[in-house]
Amino acid sequence: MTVRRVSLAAFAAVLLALPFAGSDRWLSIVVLALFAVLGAQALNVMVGLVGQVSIGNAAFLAIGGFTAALLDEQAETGFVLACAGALLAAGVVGAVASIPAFRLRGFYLAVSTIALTYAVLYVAAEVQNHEVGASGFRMPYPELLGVSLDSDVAWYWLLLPLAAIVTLLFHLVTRSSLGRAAQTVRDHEQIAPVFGVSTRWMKTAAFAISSGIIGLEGALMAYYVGTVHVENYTLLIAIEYLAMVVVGGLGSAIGVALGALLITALPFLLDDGLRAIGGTALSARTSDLTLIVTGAVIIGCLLWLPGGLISLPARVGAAIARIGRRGGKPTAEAPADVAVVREPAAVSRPAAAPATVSSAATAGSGGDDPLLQVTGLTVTYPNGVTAVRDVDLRCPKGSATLVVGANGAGKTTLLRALTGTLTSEKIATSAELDRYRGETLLRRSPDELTAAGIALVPERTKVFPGLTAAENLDVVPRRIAAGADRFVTRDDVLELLPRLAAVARTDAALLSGGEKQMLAIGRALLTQPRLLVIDELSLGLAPAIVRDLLEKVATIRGEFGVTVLMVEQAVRAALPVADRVVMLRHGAVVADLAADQWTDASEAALIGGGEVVR
Amino acid sequence: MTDDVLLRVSGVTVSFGGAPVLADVGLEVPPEGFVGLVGPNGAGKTTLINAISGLVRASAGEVVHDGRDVLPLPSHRRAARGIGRTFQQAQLLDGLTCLDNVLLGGFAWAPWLGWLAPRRRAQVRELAEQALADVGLADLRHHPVADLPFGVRRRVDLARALLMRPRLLLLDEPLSGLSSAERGAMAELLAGLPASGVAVLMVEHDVDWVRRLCARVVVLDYGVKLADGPPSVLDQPAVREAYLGTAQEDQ
Repeated sequence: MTVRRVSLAAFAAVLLALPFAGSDRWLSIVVLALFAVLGAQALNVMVGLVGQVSIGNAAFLAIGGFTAALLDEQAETGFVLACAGALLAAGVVGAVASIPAFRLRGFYLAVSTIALTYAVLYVAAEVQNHEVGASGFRMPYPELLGVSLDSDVAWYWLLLPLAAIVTLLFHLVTRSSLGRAAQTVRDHEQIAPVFGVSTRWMKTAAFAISSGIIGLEGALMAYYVGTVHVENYTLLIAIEYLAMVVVGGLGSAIGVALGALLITALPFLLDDGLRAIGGTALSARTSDLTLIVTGAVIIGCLLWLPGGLISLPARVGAAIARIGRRGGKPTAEAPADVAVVREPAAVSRPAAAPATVSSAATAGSGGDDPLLQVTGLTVTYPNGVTAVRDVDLRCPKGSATLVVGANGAGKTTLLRALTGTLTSEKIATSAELDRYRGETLLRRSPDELTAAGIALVPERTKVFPGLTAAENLDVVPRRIAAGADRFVTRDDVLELLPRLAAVARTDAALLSGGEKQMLAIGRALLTQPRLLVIDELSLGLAPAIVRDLLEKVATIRGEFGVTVLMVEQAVRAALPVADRVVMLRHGAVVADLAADQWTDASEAALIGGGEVVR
Repeated sequence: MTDDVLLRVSGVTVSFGGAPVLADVGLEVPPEGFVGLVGPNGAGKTTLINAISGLVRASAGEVVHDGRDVLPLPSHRRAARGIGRTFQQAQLLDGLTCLDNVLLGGFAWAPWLGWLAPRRRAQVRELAEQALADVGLADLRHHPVADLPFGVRRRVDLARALLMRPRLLLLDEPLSGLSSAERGAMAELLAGLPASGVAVLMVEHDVDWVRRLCARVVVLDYGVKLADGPPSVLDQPAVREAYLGTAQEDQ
């Protein structure tokens, strides 16, 4: 916190000293950047805070510029009233433009703002031709409180407080009750009303406020540049603003201010740099090069800093901490470079724990052939939480294993590690998965694992909404089967789960919980698995349906010869179909029993956390 | 009439794309009552809760809450009138802490700019901390919710709903996905709600807990009310047939 305060204070000091110490060239660059801060903050209200993607900045800049020009030139209102009028006009148009947002989201909404841009520019061109012709409006030097705004220094002192106030205001709003409500509209629009948040009101307010500020920026810019011409307002401007918001840090007012400063100053910085190193040979091409390098820097930010500039200190801190931890362990290796987990940046990505893959050859143990042999699996998240700790797990061919434990015990992490949706460590598998004969499952992607015969029935997001049940089954490529005991056809699946035939043409999103679960199981079977991994079969399902599904699992194991690994809360219900029960607690295995050894005492241990009687 | 009935649902019908999901369903929740809503998957339980809270539109019927038909009201106005709810999968703001998530619950009755009304803000904050403590999460209040396990997120969701100061709380499978120990703790929390002035309408599959918690149980099957009465209605043959399957084996 104090580091942050010191750097903020230093930043403020630099800004205040700039007009006295900086060059004229730098002063004008910073003035441009301060304009950009206004527009980027406004856009961030829409895109970052309320989640309404807009590429309409150019339209609102044009509305602001033309309104100011008409008011000042035709009505001779003067500078302040012209700016106020521009703010109001753009705000009203913005409020009206929010109506499509009641129905449209994401890409579709963005397209509607592009349409708005063309409509506005068409009207602006008509106005310009009618009033002044091809040369465009000429704006006078404005005066404010007796000071003529005819130099960069004067503009600087007008824009700096304005940009600072807008940034501070939005920073406070983000952390306020209103900001939380806005973020709920952004992240969970369907349920926001349940908390008293009117989504329409929120969207209209965001559009109006955002557009109004951009309109004000457009008016000020018109005065600063001295002309208003329709050709100055292009879609490219809107995209540049979007880049500022995303590079700075979506939803963070401070980050967005930094993004606006960087994106504005970067071409000038690069230009200077290229001229310095390239001499005459490069100088003819510097503008092209500058564009290319600017683009590359933006793409780099998006790829490697998805949280934006504002997330940089946290990322650096985490990296330092990681290096520190690694240094402490002499055996450690294996950098966490595998970006398997595609989740928002805020969600932690698992760091690789030390990996020494054990041999799959465990023939010594009783002669039964393990399909899956997990030895010493550890999964540590970058925040230092070890979700799974040194877990051994053995699934003989044809067996059914039940993994139980309280929430947070690491069950789901274990399954995700096995099915490749986590970067997993120390997993070995047996000869049965012959594409990996004697090899590790480590760092295999989920699709490779599926092809090798490991299928996951996930806890959530089981089906593809928008596709019918039949189409959900068709998603599985036909060629995937490679040497399974029994080739499972679609008819087999429909025979096993007849309910799926009845709902074949229904949108999967409209299926009941039980039907979705059946569909997920059926789809998993079509990938011809040797190992079927089921996460919480019974979750949210009625007892009758749970019993029915468990019977199906027994059939899948018996008739299809598929080995089963289940995570399950309903231990009692699932016990009859299992032959082993593995209990996890705090990420570690605390019991590994034959299913018939599971007693009331084991149940008590599961609930109460006491010692497991073996 | 409002003395003995807080919520009266009558004749509610909901259709998705022409197919009726709920047909002419009615039920009542007394003030400080605890009513269970059970039925097989696809019976329309969540749809009924959504219709009461306004997330889906009912094509017919009445939902009288606190003496007023709320069906014509948009969802956010119903929230402001004291209808709170939780979700099967806690929909939290993953970038924020537990406390910040719970604070959203205050928006329904103290929506405006917190820093302009510092006393109100402090009051909301205090109540939010209290709600978190009530669900046993006082220690985690500054912890980001993103990496919390399912059961803890569920409790954050409940605390958020409680901060809405609802008179009627709709719970959508509050016990599903919880371990036995967590179920016990959650059920204990829920059991205390009516005494604190919150009436509950709860969708839940765990029949044992439904019996223990609910004074009254409504059974839905294929969008139609099958039974309505004390928990013993769960023993009626028709209910067992529809819900538990013919073989009798609780849990």
